[in-house]
Amino acid sequence: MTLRKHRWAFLALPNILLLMLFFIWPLLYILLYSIYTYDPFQIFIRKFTWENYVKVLTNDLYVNAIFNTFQLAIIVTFFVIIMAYPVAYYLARTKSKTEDTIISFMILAPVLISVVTTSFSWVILLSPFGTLYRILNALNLIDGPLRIMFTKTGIIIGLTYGQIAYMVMTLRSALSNIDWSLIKAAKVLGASPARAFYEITLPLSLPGVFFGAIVTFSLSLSSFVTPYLLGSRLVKVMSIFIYDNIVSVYNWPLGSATATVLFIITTILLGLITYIFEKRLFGWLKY
Amino acid sequence: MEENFHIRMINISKSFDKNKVLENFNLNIKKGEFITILGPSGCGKTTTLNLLAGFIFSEKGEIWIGDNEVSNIPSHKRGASMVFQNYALFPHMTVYDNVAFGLKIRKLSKNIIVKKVDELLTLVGLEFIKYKDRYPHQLSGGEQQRISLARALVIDPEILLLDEPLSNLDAKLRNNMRVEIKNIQEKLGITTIYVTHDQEEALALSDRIALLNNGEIEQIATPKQIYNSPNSKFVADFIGHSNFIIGKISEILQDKAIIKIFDNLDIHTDLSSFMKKNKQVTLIIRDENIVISNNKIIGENVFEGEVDSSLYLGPFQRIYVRVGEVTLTVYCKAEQLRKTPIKGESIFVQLERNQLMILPGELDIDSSQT
Repeated sequence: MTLRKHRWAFLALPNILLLMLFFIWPLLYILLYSIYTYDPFQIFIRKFTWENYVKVLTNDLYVNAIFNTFQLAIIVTFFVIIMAYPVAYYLARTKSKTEDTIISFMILAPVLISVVTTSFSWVILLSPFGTLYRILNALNLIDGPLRIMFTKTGIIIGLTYGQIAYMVMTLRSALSNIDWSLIKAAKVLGASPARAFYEITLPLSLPGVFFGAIVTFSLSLSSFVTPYLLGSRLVKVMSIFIYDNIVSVYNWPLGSATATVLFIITTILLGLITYIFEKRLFGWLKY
Repeated sequence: MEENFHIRMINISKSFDKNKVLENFNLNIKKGEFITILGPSGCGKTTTLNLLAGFIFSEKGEIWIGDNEVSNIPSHKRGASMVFQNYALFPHMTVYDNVAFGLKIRKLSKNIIVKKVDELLTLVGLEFIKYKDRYPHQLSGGEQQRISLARALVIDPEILLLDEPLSNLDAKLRNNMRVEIKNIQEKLGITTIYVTHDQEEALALSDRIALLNNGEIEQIATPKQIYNSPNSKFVADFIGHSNFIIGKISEILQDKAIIKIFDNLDIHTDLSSFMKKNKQVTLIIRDENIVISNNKIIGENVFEGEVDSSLYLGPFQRIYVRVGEVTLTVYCKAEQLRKTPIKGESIFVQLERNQLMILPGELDIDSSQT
């Protein structure tokens, strides 16, 4: 009986095993390393300490990186929603297959190309004396070097660009699933098109916005290449600190502690947001 | 205003991608009238409703509601309310918020809104306290359709449009809702346009039925008129079950015409002005109007045939009788015949003269609908 009920679980088994092996297992190691003591010669010695966590949570440089990481992720998620929504709405409503194909391809293209390539093309465009500078300079709109690269603005532009695709696709399916007769019903009851959008389309698309936002937010928090190339270490984010500690400095305990802090904050935050959204906003969903 | 029509659709033309759905379409509806637009799928009935609702606009023609021309007025300013086939209740709102939606947009005070929602829920037979905080997905189809009706009526609409509102309900519920919709409409006296492809529904509910075919009104009349005196083969075929018999007028006498069927059957009929000797005609008789008996019937137009097959339908039965080269479908009470008809058995049928409808020309409609 129970076996019969859970027989579909067998299909999930390969993935679960894979996750156990390549995600949970290494994660446990990181947890372990984060409480070991750093040693310049042996990388770490097996001696328990809270020191790494104390450093991550009190050192100005690290606190600043934590702040930057979450600030960037929130801003990027916001811009991604704003920019993806109209496109997704258009895709959900258009009846032309050609338009759909062309727009979908253009939206998906950045995801199909390596993030190194796309970030580097932003470097070419945005660098202090790059393409954008030359255009603006020719138009006499700018005097000195362009100050977008090496700032948060540059990283926000790069990350937003790289993640619109995920949001458009999530939102588009949420919007296509909205029954068009609901909007008609709102209209005959006296709602203007704007009011019908605000009262019906927008709230019904919120689950899509929400799931898209979770993906964007998580990807932004853990992004490394874009902040690395467009920020060139002048904007400190946690992923770069983790990378440097583990790959360059060989301070595995500190790198592990940084990674653990990022992971714990993210998990708590996403859990909290999900809980609030499902309880408050999506009470009407058939959970 | 001519004849005090409440809704007038004048010379409306509407096409979708070169596909003409309506052309020079006219429809006038009186105040308080319950009119049903009936027809096969693709006949233009939903287009007509969408034009009235203001979801789409015609290329040509005018639509008037009362003294206002609304041809180019968008749906949210028309004062027409609608009930949808799939109910179209807002899934993220409670029953109360659904019904109150139109009132909130009209910025009425909270007290009035609560009172009106209560009133309308009561009208459609739902208890305010019990239902107000439920979400649509927690309700049955019948309950959802009641709320949809309450939501449409709460704004005191000028006209009420119903788009196949009962087609998603099961048969028993459909019958109950039919009665209730009729009662509510009579109570409120609201001008109602009802779209359906279900002829039984149309016959049961309407003051008048407009039967549409290929974007044109074939006949617009009361249910009785449309059932008893259809003005075309299409109408006779679409409403009810009829036998269509093609024949040729062989003789015109003082008080009757004789119509020959396949050179061997003579049917005597009343005279009509269009009748001329040798002209092709189609005789139409409803399945239930054919008299059938095991014994010889005395009278006019009596034929002996043999049973081809029969269907038992509980209180009724449908018997297929071969008379010469014609197969007649007879619908009668189960106890009409002494015993269950057996294939090949001899049986008598009578086509009474006053039950026969005669239309000029040959049958050119899809006979699979009979």
